[in-house]
Amino acid sequence: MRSCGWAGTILRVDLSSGAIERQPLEAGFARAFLGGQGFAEKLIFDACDFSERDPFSAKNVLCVAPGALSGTLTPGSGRLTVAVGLSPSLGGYLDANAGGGFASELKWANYDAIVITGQAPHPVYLRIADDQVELRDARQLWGKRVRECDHLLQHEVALTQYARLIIGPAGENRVHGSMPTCDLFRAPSAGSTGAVFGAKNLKAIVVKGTRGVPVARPAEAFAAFRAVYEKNRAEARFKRFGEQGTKWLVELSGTLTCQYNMQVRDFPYEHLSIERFRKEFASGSKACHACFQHCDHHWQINSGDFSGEQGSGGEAGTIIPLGPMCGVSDYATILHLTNLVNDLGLDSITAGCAVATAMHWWQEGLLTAADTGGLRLEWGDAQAEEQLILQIAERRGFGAVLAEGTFAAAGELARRRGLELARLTSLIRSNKKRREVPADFRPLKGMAFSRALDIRECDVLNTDTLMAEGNVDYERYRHIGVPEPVARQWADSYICNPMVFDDKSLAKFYSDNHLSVCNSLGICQRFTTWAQMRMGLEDIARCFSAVTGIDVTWEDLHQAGDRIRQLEQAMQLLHGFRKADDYFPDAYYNSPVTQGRFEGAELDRGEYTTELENLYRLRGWDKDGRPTAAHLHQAGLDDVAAKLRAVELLAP
Amino acid sequence: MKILAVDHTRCTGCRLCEIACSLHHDGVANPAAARLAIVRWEEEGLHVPAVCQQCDVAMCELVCQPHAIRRNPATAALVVNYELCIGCRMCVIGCPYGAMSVHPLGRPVLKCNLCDGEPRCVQFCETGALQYLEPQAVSFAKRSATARKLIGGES
Ligand code: SF4
Ligand code: SF4
Repeated sequence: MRSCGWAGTILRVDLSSGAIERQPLEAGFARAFLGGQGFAEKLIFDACDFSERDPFSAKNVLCVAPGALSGTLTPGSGRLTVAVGLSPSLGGYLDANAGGGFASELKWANYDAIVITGQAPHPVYLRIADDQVELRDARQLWGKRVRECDHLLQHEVALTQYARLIIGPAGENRVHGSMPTCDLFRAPSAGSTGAVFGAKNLKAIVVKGTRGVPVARPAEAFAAFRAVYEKNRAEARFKRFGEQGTKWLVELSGTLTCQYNMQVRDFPYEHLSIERFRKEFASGSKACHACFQHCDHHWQINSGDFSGEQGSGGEAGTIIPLGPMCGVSDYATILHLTNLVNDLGLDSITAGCAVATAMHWWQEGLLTAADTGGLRLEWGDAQAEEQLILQIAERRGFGAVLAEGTFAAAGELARRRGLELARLTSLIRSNKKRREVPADFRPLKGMAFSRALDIRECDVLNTDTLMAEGNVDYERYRHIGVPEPVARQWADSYICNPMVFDDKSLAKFYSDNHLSVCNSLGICQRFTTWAQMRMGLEDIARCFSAVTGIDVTWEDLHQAGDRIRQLEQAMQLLHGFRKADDYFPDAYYNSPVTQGRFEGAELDRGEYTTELENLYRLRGWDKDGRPTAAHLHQAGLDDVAAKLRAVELLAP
Repeated sequence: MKILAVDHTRCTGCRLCEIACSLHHDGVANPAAARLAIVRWEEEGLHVPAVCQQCDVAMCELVCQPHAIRRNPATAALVVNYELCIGCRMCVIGCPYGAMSVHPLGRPVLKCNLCDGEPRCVQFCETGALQYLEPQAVSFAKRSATARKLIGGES
């Protein structure tokens, strides 16, 4: 299919045989699954052997997919999906999402997705320059950190023209929380996708494209862009995101993270103020492709131990786990650690949670110098934190234990020390799917709901009920596709009260569909309601129609979003997840927060179940979360229904 | 006569200018077909727009044997006449700034023509890294910043 918007080709790479194939994109498939997340899900669903439980098996499927609108003029359309059939840390299908320039470059080279299977006999990297696609020897790159690998690649390809995904030692060593680093500083974090690259002996993918993406109606695309540009620029938050990224959220979030470690109550959050960052470190704004909001910043450290070091990134989601959660309040040290995790190819949330948990165990006397080989994990010791992060990525010392994830580490420690397992696991913040959650969300019901349910960690790119919570704004509800009468009702109801659980299932239903659409088209959340911006589903439909020449309404897109969520649920059921996995660990319920601004707030298990079952109902699932044949048929997913029926996972 | 002014310190590397350019001229979103290029150095966080300066003494014009590159008196832009262009690409080699390039798909060479006085790249540059200004205005911002520094204020 050679139409506008899409590139028209899916690239299939079998690392075992070295075979590289091009498969034409089918029009029906493209319209149903859009691109990005939707493509990755369906391509993986079709290729995945759900009986295989080893994520490091050659059979595991890896998919890299740009959004349907990536590479075009659509505002903020530069996001890339990186997905795996079986995530080592989740034990199910997982997709993660990164910004940067890779998604657009892949589109310009004319690929809508890369599906990677097999296992290379020795380390290789994939080089794509338009229709030249080749696997090259990467033995000389193996063992190298991301930046060094980048420097070495520079000798082989002119890197200023290439976009690149590179794994560091963490991915090579199949570490929990590893990811490929995109353009040095961007992370499709979550799910340990880097470990799957590592197991496949795939060190990197570099891409350059000069074919471009044809746009069906350029004048209309210009107009659609202009409309979003003007609306978003008029928002108060616009300037703030441009100047401060998400770093201004660090101080704000302080109250939420305070439960991770007891001492955090008196943590000097003012050391991590956005004013300090801007004054002492920021050296320039940076944007992903096609983004006029430029929330990223390059920074430089000008004094102290790390003087001269520079880098980018350091979202609130990086600074909080690497800093306050481990008791570290020196900004320069946290930025240095940010560079370190990017360079090792380790996601900052997982790494920070692992260190914080170990420090917590240490503090409780559950972990001692005898277990850590002498490394003293005192809370707030940045050097110890750095050592432990290195040990994790390189699987040395106690790091080798934590490299399997905090739950596995708790099990190992319990066995070695003869401790009660529950004492160790009770200090891990996670949901039942055993994904670390870097904050205590008990006070914020919708957020808590999402964190418990979702396949990804604390990730506003996958779900975000907060776009409904806290926004008493009819317009914004419309933006995520809430039908008019419902939106009117919401605008003056308790649904926007984050402290109340009622109707959060509705908020989640609409926001999930909306986010699936965005992730499939490659559109960044910071353009839409999450960041209180004004790019709504209608604007998105307008961009989509102008670029592809296929006229769609926001309702069509909303339905596509539902289809993508149906497929995701089907895959998780096939991987063995059940209703019980849609909860937090038991200890999380009916136990109030004991300190801080939200003292007394708690999550009621009964309320939780009500909303969970409501959400299932909205999706057309039974009360155990199983889809019905009728609903799947309506969504055009008969093949999915057939696969579920064969293993009796379809609702009766 | 306005000129296309570049302030690379403001460039975020979003590359919207490239897409706006190629979409306007060729109906395709393709930086390789754009008449300007953004060079990104990820590690240093540097993004530098490489843009035609429409030089007074223009090498591209001088090296062009069939005289296919001529100045448009309305905009002062040097414009390629594709009827005359023989595709020898000497202009691409001759330009000291790398501001010209070879088209990946269609026309032999690519050169900025200032969109006949309405440069699209400028319209899509949020930060003002690219601006279309009267010549006096180009140095004004820098002058006033320097002057402020001289009297001891913040620049
Ligand atoms: S193409 Fe190069 S030489 Fe010609 S006018 Fe532009 S900058 Fe000058
Ligand atoms: S539009 Fe402006 S900020 Fe964006 S890349 Fe071009 S010059 Fe830089």
